[in-house]
Amino acid sequence: MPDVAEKMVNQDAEEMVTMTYVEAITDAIRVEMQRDESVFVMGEDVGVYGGIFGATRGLYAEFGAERVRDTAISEAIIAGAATGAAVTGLRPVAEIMFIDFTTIAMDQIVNQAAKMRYMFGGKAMVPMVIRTPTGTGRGAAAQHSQSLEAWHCHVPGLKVVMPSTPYDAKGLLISAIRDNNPVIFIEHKILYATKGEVPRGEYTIPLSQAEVKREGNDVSIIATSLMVQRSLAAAELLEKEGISAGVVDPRTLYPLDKETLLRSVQKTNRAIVVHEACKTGGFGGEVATLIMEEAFDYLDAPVMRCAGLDVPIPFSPPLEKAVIPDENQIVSVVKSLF
Amino acid sequence: MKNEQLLDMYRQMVKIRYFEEKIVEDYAKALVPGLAHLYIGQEAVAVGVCSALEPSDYITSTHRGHGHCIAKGGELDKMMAELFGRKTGYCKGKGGSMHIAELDLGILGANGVVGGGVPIAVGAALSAQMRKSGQVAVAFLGDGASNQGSFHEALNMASTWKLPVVFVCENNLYGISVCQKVHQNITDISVRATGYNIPGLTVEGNDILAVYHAAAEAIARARNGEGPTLLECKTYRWRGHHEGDPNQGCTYREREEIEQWKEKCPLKNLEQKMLKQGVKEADIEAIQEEIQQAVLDAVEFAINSPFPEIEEAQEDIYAS
Amino acid sequence: MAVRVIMPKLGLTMTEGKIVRWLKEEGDPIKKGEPLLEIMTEKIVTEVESPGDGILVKILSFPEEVVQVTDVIAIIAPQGENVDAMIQEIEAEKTSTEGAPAPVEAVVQEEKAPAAVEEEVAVAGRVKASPLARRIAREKGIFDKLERIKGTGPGGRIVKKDVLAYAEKEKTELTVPATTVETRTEPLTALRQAIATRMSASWQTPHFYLETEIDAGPLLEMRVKINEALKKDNLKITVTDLLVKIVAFVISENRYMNASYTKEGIVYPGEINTGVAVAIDEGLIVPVVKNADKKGIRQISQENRGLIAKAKENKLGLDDITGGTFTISNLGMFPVDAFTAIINPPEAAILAIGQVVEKPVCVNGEIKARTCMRITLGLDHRAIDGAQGARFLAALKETLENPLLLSL
Repeated sequence: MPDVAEKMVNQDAEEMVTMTYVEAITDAIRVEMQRDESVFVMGEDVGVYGGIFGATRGLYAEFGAERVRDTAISEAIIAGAATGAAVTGLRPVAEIMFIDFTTIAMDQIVNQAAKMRYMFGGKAMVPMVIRTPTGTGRGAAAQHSQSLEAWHCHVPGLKVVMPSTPYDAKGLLISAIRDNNPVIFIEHKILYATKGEVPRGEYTIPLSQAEVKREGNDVSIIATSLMVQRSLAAAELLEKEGISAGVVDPRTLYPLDKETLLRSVQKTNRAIVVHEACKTGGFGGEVATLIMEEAFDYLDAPVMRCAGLDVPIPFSPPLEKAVIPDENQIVSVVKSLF
Repeated sequence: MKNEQLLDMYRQMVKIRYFEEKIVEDYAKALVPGLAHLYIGQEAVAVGVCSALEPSDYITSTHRGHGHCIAKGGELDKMMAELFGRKTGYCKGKGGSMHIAELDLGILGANGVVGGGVPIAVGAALSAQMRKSGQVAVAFLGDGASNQGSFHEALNMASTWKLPVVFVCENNLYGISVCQKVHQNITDISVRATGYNIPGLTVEGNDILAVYHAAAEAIARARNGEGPTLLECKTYRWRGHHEGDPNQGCTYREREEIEQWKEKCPLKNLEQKMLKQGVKEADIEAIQEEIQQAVLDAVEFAINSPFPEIEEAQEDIYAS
Repeated sequence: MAVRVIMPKLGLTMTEGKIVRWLKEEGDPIKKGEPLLEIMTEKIVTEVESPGDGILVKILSFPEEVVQVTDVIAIIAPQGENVDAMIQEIEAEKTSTEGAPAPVEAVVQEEKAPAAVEEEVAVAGRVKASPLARRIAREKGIFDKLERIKGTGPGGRIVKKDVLAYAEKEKTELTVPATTVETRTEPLTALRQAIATRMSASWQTPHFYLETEIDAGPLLEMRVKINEALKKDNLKITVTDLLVKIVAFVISENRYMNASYTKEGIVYPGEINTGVAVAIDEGLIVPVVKNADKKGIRQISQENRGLIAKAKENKLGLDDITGGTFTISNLGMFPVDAFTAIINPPEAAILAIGQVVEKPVCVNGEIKARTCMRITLGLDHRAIDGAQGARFLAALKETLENPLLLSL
């Protein structure tokens, strides 16, 4: 739910409509393209085709080829041209078809876009968004299913956003497009089809504002993206066993809303971090350490991670399902704290 | 070309030459931290191309970028201060030799990554095209970068979208220590334009007028919406890959080769042309003296400038 | 076929037994009926016989461990038989019992036998407690008792609720204070500073003390009589009121006591102003009854009461506390026999009053019960000499013991 400040900003966004996560994303881009001429879309198959997950569906028809640009399958130049366009006055919203492919664009993202402002002594602004789908669940195997958010979080100069609901997706994407920094906007393939209430017009959710998706007293489950939904389901199961679990969604991983996370942990005295990315080097380690550093004396149990296994994502559906956390795993990790 | 215009170009070349020679000295004195890749020997390319650009046009540069920045209007004081890591430098001392940038001069940054700036120039050209601003972007790159994927992706996008960009490849014969013969199976890099259906041409890079005229034509094409050009300028770097490269790179090249190229000094080349055209020797000498002093002043400025405050290390990461 | 060795129930009331020692080691062959281990139950050590033939392949419970009756403590199996499955089964039974709602009896057991848990915790080399539990323990001043607390968290970890339960228990048992008093620094008030300065200055004065015991009977009797007389006016005088009057009277007869040493010379003030030390919350203050030698007891008493009330309400004016020439400090309301007071400068004498005690006194060769009071005169030797002080003390004693002298 939006907080009071958000509501005040979004007075014209009162009317709620039900839409899917992917429609919410398209809607955010549409709203911003209508509002600001400097916003444009580019990427592979984003034009007539409307994006392979349909995230830009209808935009080509509405805004034309000039502002909805199909590129070659050529990720480095997508990111690089976005950087060059951003530093010279436009607001590109580039799509990299799978987060796995950001690896091909990594020089432009990491060495160029992220550092430009700093290297230039604060003179440049690089207002660009790279939208990119993450995660498993489509049987797409090891090169199309990874969760690489931690890599991007490791680069000062980037902001990293991971919405878990249609409402968050639209509000955060509008904020990301308006932000004057490079933002990696990570969407979940499985969430694309999920539905939710979304305001019709413009509204923003500040980047760096976590949300307590469910209040709880006994344990804080800090989860990202698809895992927010699974953690909410796990919290239901835990409630039946007498454990009151809160679920906190950082929404923006960098900059991280530490206060909301810590406040929750200080209340419940226990925390687990849930993400789909493999455990080693994952964002969960960062959150766990933050809690240890800032709330050690509030902990009544070790901070645990419930994360993907350290394996490339396998193809076979039973294997693919087995290597990332589900409700039961989340429940059992929580129970190990009691 | 008019004498005045030639003298202006000459002044820019002398600026680059003297600036870089001073860096040789001050690098040895440990006044310049980090790495310094010097441009000596290639001055005609930067000045020839930038003389054909408008102030509002863009360039992206390379790790060997001092020459491009000076040619695009960079002030020696701020350049020197940046190289010295001082607060008064172009990037407040946070970028250094490989990242000098000044957006007001259209300098979108030198670049530490070989081929890293090329896509950015394409993006700037895209922006210019979409904003219908009439601006042109020039991507400076070396023979080494012509083998990078980013170069090919950039040429492909620029040619497909007919973007107002000129790719200026300074073929100085070495990618660090590896000579061109060893790193690519072509002699003229301009042939790579064929693959993207854009004009590609090769010019004598130490002849500033040859560079200027070729660049001016390519820039005009770009500005007229006719798309990109790949312009190869054959040249040579006199110093090693960086200051500290033993014996100016004589581990991988012959001293005679360096001497032969010094015979083709781009500054001498222009001096002779000017004298032939009737420019007074005194005018040439006056420029040399003027720049000599300007470089000393720049060093003075840099040395007397403060280092950044420690707190500044955490500033300028994000725009609000 | 493998045989489970269980903790046998050896009496009607036995619910648990403690392993004393194993008489066989793992791997030893054993015959049915052969002594296998010793257990202790209700302070009686008993041998347990082997329930089967074979090899003692696995010991599951170790010396000092308290085990529920019928719990498996070892496995005996024929040579070569794999008992892994059986061990797993036993473990599983254990966990499922732990997971299920604990029967009331088991809870009682647990509480009775914290030793077992402590053992487990101690084995790990240090007390296993959560950061929060440690913090709370520190705050409650029971950090050094962590090892006595039974942990109920995973792996026997001491968690928040364990510390809170222990603290609560300790509080009700009143074994030790639940909280410690931290060292603190109270900032100096102006009054405290003034006391410190004056007392330190006074300490430079060469004091000497003269002490005597008086028969306080007549004085107290007089007070009773006066109070009876004043009853109709709803008034009451105190011993201090009487002392103020008597001291001022005796000083008026011995003016050299009304002295003040200065560099210029010894000053003998014209007025006799008697200060009375009063304890208030913030410290000590000495309001002054002016010209007490010239005032009646009734008036003195009223003035005194007014001054004390003002002192307690912090309302004394400068006039109320200055101009004193002699101070009386009465600690007689406490079990203080006598004490040596510090002179209140610039005065030259102070009288310290001890408690009134009934005690045997020899009067004309006979032991008689008397109410006695010890008074101690502190003097500034620069202004008053020993003999002068002694004369004054003698006169004072005489008057206190014969208060009728006041009327002369």
